[in-house]
Amino acid sequence: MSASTAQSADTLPKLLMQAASGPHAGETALRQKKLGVWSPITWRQYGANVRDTYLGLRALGFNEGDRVFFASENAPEIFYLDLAVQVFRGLMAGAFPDSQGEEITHLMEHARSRFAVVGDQEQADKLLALDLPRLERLIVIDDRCMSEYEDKRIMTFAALMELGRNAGDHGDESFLSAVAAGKPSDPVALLYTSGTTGKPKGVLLSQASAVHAGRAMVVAEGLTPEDEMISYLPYAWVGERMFSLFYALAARYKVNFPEDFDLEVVLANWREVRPNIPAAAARVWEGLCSRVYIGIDNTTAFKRWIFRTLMPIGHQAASDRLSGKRSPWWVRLCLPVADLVLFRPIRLELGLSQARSAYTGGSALGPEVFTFFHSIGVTLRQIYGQTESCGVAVMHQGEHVYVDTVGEPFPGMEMRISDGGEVLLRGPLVFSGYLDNEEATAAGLLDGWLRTGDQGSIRDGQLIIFDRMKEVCRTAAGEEFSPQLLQNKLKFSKFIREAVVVGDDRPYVAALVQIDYDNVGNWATRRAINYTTFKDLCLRPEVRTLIADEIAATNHGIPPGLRIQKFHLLQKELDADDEEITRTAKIKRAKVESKYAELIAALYENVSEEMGAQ
Amino acid sequence: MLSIKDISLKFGGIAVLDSISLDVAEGSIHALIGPNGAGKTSLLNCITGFYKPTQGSIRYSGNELIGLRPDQVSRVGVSRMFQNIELFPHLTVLSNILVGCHLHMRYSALEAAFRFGRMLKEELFHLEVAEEIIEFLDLEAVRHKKVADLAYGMQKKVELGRALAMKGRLLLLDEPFSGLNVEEKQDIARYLIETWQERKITLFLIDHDVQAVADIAGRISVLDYGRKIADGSPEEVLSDPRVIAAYLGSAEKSPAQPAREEAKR
Repeated sequence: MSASTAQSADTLPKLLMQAASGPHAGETALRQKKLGVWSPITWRQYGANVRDTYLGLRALGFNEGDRVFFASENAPEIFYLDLAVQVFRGLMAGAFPDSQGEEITHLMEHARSRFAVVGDQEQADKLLALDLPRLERLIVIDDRCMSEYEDKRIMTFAALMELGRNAGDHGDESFLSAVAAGKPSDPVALLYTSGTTGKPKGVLLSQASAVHAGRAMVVAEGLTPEDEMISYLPYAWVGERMFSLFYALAARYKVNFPEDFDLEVVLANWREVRPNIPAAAARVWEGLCSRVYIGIDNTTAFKRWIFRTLMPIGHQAASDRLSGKRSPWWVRLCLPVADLVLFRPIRLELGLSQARSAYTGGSALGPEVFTFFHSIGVTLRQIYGQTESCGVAVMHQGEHVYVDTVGEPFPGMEMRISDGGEVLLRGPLVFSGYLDNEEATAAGLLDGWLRTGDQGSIRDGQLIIFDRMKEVCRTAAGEEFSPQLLQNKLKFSKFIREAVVVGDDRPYVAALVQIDYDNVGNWATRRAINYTTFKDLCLRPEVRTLIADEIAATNHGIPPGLRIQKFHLLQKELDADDEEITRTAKIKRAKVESKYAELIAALYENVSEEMGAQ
Repeated sequence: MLSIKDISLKFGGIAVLDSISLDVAEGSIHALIGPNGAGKTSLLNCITGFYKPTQGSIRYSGNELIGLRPDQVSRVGVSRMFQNIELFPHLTVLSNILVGCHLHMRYSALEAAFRFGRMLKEELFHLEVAEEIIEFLDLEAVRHKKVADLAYGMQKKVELGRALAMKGRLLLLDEPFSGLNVEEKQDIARYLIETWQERKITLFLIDHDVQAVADIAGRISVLDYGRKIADGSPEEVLSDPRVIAAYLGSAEKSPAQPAREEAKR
């Protein structure tokens, strides 16, 4: 087959054009759900659309190395734009669909973009409301309700592509020669770090790393062109880039766009697509797991009985598999029955029936949830990496899946632990540098090794992550602790959604806790505890007791000096719009600590009537 | 577009509407407000053929509506969204919207029963129409859910969706904001404006919520006790002392009171 030619392609646009002109050009590359129907876009059309976008941009005066900004939900147009910009060796800086004013201004200014592409009126309005002197063109994908806009900079994406189609006779040739001129050292993406501390930094990744990432994944996971994927994570995040672009082009698999990005709609569409290699942030997996348990709580007694009877069998089999043991004979005997009666229906319900492997990343996933998915027969794998390592660099591979590790390095990657305990990575996936920030680039690399900023250790070639390096704290009594480790332990409770552990230089460790609205809500409903809002629910004494018990249980596995002595329930969910968490749901500790300073101070007041969780 | 002339409606001895005249211009959002029992819904019922006025004429694009049955009125191009949800609670959202398309289906019962002929083509066509509306109103998540299982605000949206499926050029909305919370009101208001802007449908709406109405309507008429007491731009109407008295009003000294007495004489 075309393996040898595929090897010769060293940039993503080359991979695309190979697929678009090869023997499989008539096969589906992308699918978008429109008016209730999944409409396919073939590789040939995909290539042609990227060409039209490229030629359209060129007609508008977009030059080699230029930058474009985008703010949109995922759509095929964003992919055309991305690949066209790569052919220009340009940079595409993107905001999350829910990013607000200042964040957008920072990104636009930092990348010095003259062009912006937005998804719809809502995104366009956000940009038009800002003072962006550099902006020359505002290209809108869906111009619904924008017929009355008179701003001369506005045009539709369809018009841009039309412009490209009419670019003249030599358009095709010039596009193909520009693709052919692409080099592995060209940029493939400009991605902004989530910025838990300070302003986001622009990470530059090269074509070589994206192509390597794709090929490595194809080998490691045996990806095929028959595989299906659903594109729903924010495109401004490296996680989405890997699965929908890097891997998809390398494996030539199909990427599906849901009709809407509301979580309910995504999950419904997910069930229709039945992705073969579903990837999601840890909290989505937690959500799916909760969904099953809430469903079981609210179903008939008979089904509940089935669940309670058969679940331990799956659990036993999963635990044995994860620890490399052979299951007892009765488990092996009952497993096929349990699978048929219980696990298969659950997998169908969750849209995981075709999942060969599933991936979780972003933050730590509780062992219970992790084991749950293995129990129902889904091979869930931890992925680990960061924007600077082109996304996934370390992953559970083959049979080597363990609850407490994040796996082994991708082919071609090396890892080691520095003297200070920091995880270091080296290899083709490591980024080229931060955009216009040599200081940070120098600080991020150590003799060619990428400093991940994570503290970890290696056991039998498997990486174990403890915490962020700089976040290791010390109580007034001098005991060292890692807030994140404790936070993760708390978050493993299904009733706790977020936790902020404090205690640096304080007499004891304490926590601010945000309950999981769905699970606590369901728990309360089943106990006839009335509540109206999130805040109201938090104020119920029963809920406080519930969380106190959960914390007490967590405290069991923690050295006495580091146990959580007091806690407070947050009466509002932490929100990215309030700058308490990043768009990828990581806590901005400094912001939270200053915002809730009074609340934290109250945790250390002797006179406080707050009852601890001891 | 819609021209109401001198409409009166009496139930026995009670005059519900007293020679009302008003014009709804094509391409406008026209609101009709008034206190409870002012006759707003009765006027809508006259337009859609549920009531037969005792006198006057209602013309829509040159057609006289009085004397037409409700289904004939909608066939001429006047759709209606009801105040109390009038959906089929045990059908899905999609089916309810398809019911709105029913008006335009031409195939026979026989074709429907044996699924042949015009039936297949038309069903597919209308499915697309319904799906467009689902996309327009962002109802994807509930497409296959039963209406009875939805929140009230969502049901209102479905009600609007069904009215849109009738494809009238004039859409009558009976209290689209009633029973909704602030967020839902904003939501519906947004879809109404999009309906008006994108689908070029003229809206004639009735509501109590003066603020919501003033925010979206280009023209407001005010009814009080079956009489029209004001008509004009939102600013004019809301600063009209008679309106303030009758609607937002001081019960004690109402300047509208003498006016009404005078009218009786």
